[in-house]
Amino acid sequence: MIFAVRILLVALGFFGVLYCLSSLLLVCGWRCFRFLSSKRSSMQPGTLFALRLLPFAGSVFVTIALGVPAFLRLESNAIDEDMGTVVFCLVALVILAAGAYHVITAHLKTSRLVAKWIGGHTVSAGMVTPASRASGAPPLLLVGISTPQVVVSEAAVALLTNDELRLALQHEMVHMRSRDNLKKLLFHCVPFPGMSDLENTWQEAAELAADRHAVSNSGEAVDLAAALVKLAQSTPLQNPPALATGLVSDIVLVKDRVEGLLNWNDWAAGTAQSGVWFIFAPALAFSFYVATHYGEALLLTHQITEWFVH
Amino acid sequence: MAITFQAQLGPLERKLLGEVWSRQSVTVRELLADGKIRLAYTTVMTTLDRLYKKGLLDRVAEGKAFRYCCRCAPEEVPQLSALTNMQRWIANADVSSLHLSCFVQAVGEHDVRLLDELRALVENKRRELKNGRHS
Repeated sequence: MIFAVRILLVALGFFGVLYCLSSLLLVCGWRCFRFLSSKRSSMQPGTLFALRLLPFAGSVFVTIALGVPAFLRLESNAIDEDMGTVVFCLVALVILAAGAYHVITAHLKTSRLVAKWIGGHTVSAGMVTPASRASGAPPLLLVGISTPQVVVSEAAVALLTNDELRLALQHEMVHMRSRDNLKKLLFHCVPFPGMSDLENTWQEAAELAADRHAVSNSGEAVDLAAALVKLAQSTPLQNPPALATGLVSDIVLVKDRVEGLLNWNDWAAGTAQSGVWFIFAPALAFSFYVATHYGEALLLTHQITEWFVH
Repeated sequence: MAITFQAQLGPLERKLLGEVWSRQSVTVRELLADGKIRLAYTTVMTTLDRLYKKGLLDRVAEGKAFRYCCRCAPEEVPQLSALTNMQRWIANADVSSLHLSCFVQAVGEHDVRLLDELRALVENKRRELKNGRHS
């Protein structure tokens, strides 16, 4: 029993160290990338999402594949454990607790705001729900994680033509199919200081991708662009709640989106830069190497762990 | 006339701004007429023009010259100066991650202009597509 607790301690400590180091590496690498590339990133949202979750997923994978087996194979069955392991374990617990706290507060804030905006209406999955006239309600909002729904303000219905409203809804449906609110929830689950810029870049890329997939010709693109400008002019721009997606929130992004939509032919013909292989190729190579040299990898992991703890 | 801001304006600019404020409205020739300011006509003219471009003075054409007046009270000058500088900065810089609430006023005015321009672009494109369909 005590040995099982010790395994848990070591696994958590191992995960905590790996997660902090890999997240720090990502934050520094991302900042360098942003510093060196002057223009807005043209990476696909999927790549940015994978990049953001890589430290967590990688840390869990390495802990399960290497950390725990190395401990079981190379460590004695003693029940005492070094203080260093306990400290690293506490770090991991703080990270997990911070993630849980972020998720709960984000969920509560989002629910409270959405409840205020939709007034007494009940909402059901997949339905388009009219928002109340409450001041400050965004024109269109995708809310919900497991059963997402689009909330439309009465102002948006009054302001937009039928075609514009249809395309605005289509844009939100693309977010719904991409499960973007769930992705936001995952970001909140794995917090780390300095990640907000990467998350904002993902958000911008997701908006551009939703625009691109919501329209199928130049006429529709112009209608969606008109909807964006009308809504940005008529309602004060605001960031959507943490676990929701809004149609218009940032003026600079609105400008980029409108310009992209007005040049839809070029935009649709060009392919967004896919950097997903830059992430997965090294990860696959690493996994292959570990699989073929498993014994050595375990030994190395054990030595590194011992060095860290002592 | 005590002009309290120091950082944004040079000594000559501060002096001339104080003079314009004390006289309400003035031309370059009137400023030089009483002999208190012993500078070349072109120097005064250039400095007033610079203050106008910084958004601190208004001017109306009067014959071949301009008549200048202050756009605000001296105590409001730092705020107006900051606002003008921010607007100029926003117009030239990449401000994709700008979220500071103290920029709200400058950003608001910039946003209105930007959205008007975008709306005009959308209408043009719509007309272009309609004409393309008819022809």
